[in-house]
Amino acid sequence: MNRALIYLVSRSLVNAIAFRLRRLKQPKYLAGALFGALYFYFYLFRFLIRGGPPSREVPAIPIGELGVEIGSLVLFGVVIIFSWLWPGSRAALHFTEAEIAWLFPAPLDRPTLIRFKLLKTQLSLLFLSLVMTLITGRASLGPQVWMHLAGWWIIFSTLQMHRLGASFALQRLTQRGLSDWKRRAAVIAGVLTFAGAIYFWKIATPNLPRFTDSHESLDWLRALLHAGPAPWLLLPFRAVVQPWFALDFTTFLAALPAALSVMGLHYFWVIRAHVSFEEASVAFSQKRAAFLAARRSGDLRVKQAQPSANIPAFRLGPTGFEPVSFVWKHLLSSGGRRSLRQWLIGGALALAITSALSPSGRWPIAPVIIAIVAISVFLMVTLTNAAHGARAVRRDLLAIDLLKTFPIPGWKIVLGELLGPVLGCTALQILALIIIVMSISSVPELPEAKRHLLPIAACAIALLVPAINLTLMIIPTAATLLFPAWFKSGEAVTPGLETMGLRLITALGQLLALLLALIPAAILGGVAWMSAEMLGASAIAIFAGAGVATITLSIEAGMGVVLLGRVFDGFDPSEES
Amino acid sequence: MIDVTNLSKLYGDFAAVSDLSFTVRPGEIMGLVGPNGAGKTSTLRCLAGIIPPTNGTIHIAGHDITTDPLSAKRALAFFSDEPRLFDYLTVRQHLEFIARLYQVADADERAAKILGELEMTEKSNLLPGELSRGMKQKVALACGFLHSPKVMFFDEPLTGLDPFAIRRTKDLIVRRAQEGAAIIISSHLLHLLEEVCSHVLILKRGVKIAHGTLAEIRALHGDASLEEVFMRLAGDDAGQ
Repeated sequence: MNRALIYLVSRSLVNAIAFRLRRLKQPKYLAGALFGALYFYFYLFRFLIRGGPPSREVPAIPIGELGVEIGSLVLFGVVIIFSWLWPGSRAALHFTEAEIAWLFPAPLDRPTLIRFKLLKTQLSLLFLSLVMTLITGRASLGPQVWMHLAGWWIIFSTLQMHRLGASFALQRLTQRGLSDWKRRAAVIAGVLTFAGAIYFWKIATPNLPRFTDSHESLDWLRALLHAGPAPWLLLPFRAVVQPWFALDFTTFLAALPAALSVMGLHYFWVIRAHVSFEEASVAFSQKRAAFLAARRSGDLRVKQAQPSANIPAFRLGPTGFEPVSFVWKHLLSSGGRRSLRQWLIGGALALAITSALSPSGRWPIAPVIIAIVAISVFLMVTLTNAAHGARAVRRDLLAIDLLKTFPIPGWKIVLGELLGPVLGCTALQILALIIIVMSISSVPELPEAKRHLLPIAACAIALLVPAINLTLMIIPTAATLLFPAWFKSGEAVTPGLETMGLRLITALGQLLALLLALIPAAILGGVAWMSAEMLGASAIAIFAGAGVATITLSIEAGMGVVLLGRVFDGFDPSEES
Repeated sequence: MIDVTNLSKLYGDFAAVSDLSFTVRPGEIMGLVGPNGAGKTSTLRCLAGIIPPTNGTIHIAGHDITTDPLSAKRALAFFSDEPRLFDYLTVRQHLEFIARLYQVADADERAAKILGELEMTEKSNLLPGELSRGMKQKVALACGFLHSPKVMFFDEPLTGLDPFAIRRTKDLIVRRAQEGAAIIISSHLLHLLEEVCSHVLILKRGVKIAHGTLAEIRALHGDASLEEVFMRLAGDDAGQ
């Protein structure tokens, strides 16, 4: 490859490391790096160095050949979906704005540019492989983890090159007049032909194992993927995933040549493609730059398209309680009346589906599944709400010059900023609670006494959730205002060990603060509950406990808002810039 | 209307503004000039209540910005160099939002009048993303004018505007002063300041080096232009 490009890649890497090391002079990054290093050591590296702990060592799942078959099928699906059906952007070759400005006009041919990009992405692919190794088999693999890592790298590298080659092929087809929908239709037709061929082969094979219980279904799948057209079509995919499934070094070495051959073929396919990728890359780079600029300004929404004007959810009068204007603004930015209508329709649909499926005797599992989904939604909304609110505050803190000129006290600004997300997530939680009650009530095994208590408990939780939401949101918001240097919005976030460590410290700090905030409410609520329970009224006891806990949490939240308001009033943005 | 006494702003040991005192009366437009890093933006941000002063007192329309910030802020408007607008609020919705914050009871009539004045009536349902920079600047002006502030601070108000927008903004500023507002403009465009300002204050390293009416300042330096006066007084700092 061009020596200048090698210099660019190597020098950038060295400078990036030096930058990170210099950054460790700041206590927050040093603490983050230490925490991140400890986390990585205890979670991954000690297993890489010493092997898995004997107490937790789990034998590898003996799926052998079948694993390879399933793996190749999954890879086939991923390739079809993400490379040929919905490749995402027209340009799979992503250049930064600086690279476009300096490399495109430079005397470099296209293969050199492609090689440069392939080389540059290797580091991120290695990191991704490491993370995937950590997720998929850290403790069970022991010393074999290195083979697992190499297996992941082969899969990701091949996938990346396939995606690149496919994008070039698609671009050539587009230039020849093949529209997106025609291409998708052709791909789907190809997949259906393949599935049809397997189906007819299955009909013609009377001795195929039956798809009944789980063991026989595995035999059925194995037989299906081992005969007919399937093994031929899946051959290259099998070659790519085989090293990942290797259980010993010999098998790994034996699987390598085929995997590397597929990789090599992909490399030549990509390098020899004579496609003008520059225009698509420039368009992508501009979009990406705009997206990053939006992220740096605190807008973490994935959407890159131009927002559309929305009708407010309600009319904002020119006078009245000022924090309402922030709620109005929040609802408006979340879609306004259109979004509200969509949520209402969605909620009504969810309730209709629940009431239709829950009492049905035909699918006794249906109410259980609905309840599990609703509980998951409830928990997810509760947990993500705090981060959502803090993000909104951080985004608005970028316009602090404007906020500070508003003639209203800080606590009203803080309250207004928090109320919008609190209301939104409370509405969702209450909907989830109604669905939980409806679905669980129809489970026949539920004792009658508990069936009566279920709506009461749900009402008690509904009483509690706004206060819990507000308290949950105050904690990260307080962190943002009290330690702005640690949670600076607009700061270009360079990923790394120290950034990850910082996030871990933050998450632990917030968890601790939340527990402290919940203790008084839990104690007082518990005392009220038990006192009422002793009088013999369970329903009243639940309400008494929830009521006292809600009041306690509301007082804490109110104090938190007032304190944060004071911090906001005294906040000196010049000291943080 | 704007009364500043012994204002100082320190960042650690560094004095961005030192012992600054001046007054701007209703109807006056004061140009705040100085080389980069002279303390202009720090001064404006202290005056608008965005950052607290280290020492000194600031009275806006008779209210101390430190002890009675809300009353002071009700009387002022701050226009930053970059119009900062909310992505998802249309022009009209920006005005509705600001009306609630400043409790402007007759906001609808005022908004219609201001939008007409700024030739933005037809754009009132557009989002900031659909507006040019000049139009965004107009939205910021409309929001700032909505509560009829008695005191206005402009930080580089003419940056990035086309000649038409520059003329319109200058006219608007002058008209507000004629209606009785006290105005401070910070800008590097000295010839433009010369056209609109009645007074000038020159800062150098956070210290006032000249202050008075434009005529007084020029007369002191042989009727030189503001640019020449500035070069003589702040010359060794220019370009820093």
